Amino acid sequence: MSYDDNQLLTVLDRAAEQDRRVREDMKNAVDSYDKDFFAQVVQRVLARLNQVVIDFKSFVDNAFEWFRNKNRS
Amino acid sequence: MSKMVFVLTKVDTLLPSPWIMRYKSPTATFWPGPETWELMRKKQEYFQERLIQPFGKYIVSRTHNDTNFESDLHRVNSLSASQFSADRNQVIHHGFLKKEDVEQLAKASSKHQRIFERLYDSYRPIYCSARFQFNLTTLVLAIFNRLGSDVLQNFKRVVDPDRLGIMSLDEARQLSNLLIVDIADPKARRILDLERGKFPNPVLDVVFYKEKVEQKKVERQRKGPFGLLGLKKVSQSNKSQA
Repeated sequence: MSYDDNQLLTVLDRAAEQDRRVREDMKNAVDSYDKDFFAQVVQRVLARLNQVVIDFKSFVDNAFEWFRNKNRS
Repeated sequence: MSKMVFVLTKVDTLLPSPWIMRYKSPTATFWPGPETWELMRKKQEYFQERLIQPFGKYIVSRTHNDTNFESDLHRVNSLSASQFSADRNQVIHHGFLKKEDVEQLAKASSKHQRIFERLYDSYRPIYCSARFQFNLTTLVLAIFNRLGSDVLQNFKRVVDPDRLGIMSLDEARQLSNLLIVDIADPKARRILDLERGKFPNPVLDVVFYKEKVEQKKVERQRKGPFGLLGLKKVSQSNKSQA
């Protein structure tokens, strides 16, 4: 079977529209997931830095405590 | 269930109407004819109803957020029986989203229509053809949505979304599944062979043409308006080719 010109044009229009829409969705999805990924990385880095600060503060406190005890004795 | 993708493969074997090769120099893409398209849609609906819908409550679908969905989250949740959640980058839906729900939600909140459609599409069987590289972009998008942002970073290196579904003309020509041969000819002359660029001859294969073409007319067209001058041109071009 064959198509008349109008039928063929309708099919081609639909194909082009769907193709454009899916490619646009794909691009947006990749951008969005990239942003999400980098946000997660930043969040992890900040959490790690926070932990390092807490550990360092605890270390300094312990050192002070140790010197104080040593001076007393 | 949320990590599964249902795929209707090898749709190139469906042939109620011819497939269309969309040629745009120098590439080609394939698209089904209207009847084939309709048949694929019916198959898709059937498998969605039989395979996916019974497990609807286990489905968690996800899509990217490109319309600030999170600001309308409460309103959408009050309209819908199933639950949506969202952040700045993605929208997550728990449960199976029916077609009627999509239409209703899209009517109530037209700004997010594409999000509802994408969530609905992500749990439909995906028809595709590796041979014709047809609909592979949709398939990869469905996989992206299931992978999440962590794994996507590795997956992205393997798949180039811009080149999906597009092939070179040479590659596309080899996919033709029709060869017409004149069996009355002792040399089995090829009348139609897309791979070799052979098409029915207007004089020898007149039966393939709706309007009969006279041999003289064809010769005249070949030689051009000035006959001899046309012949000279042809012979010159032959020499230059040699």
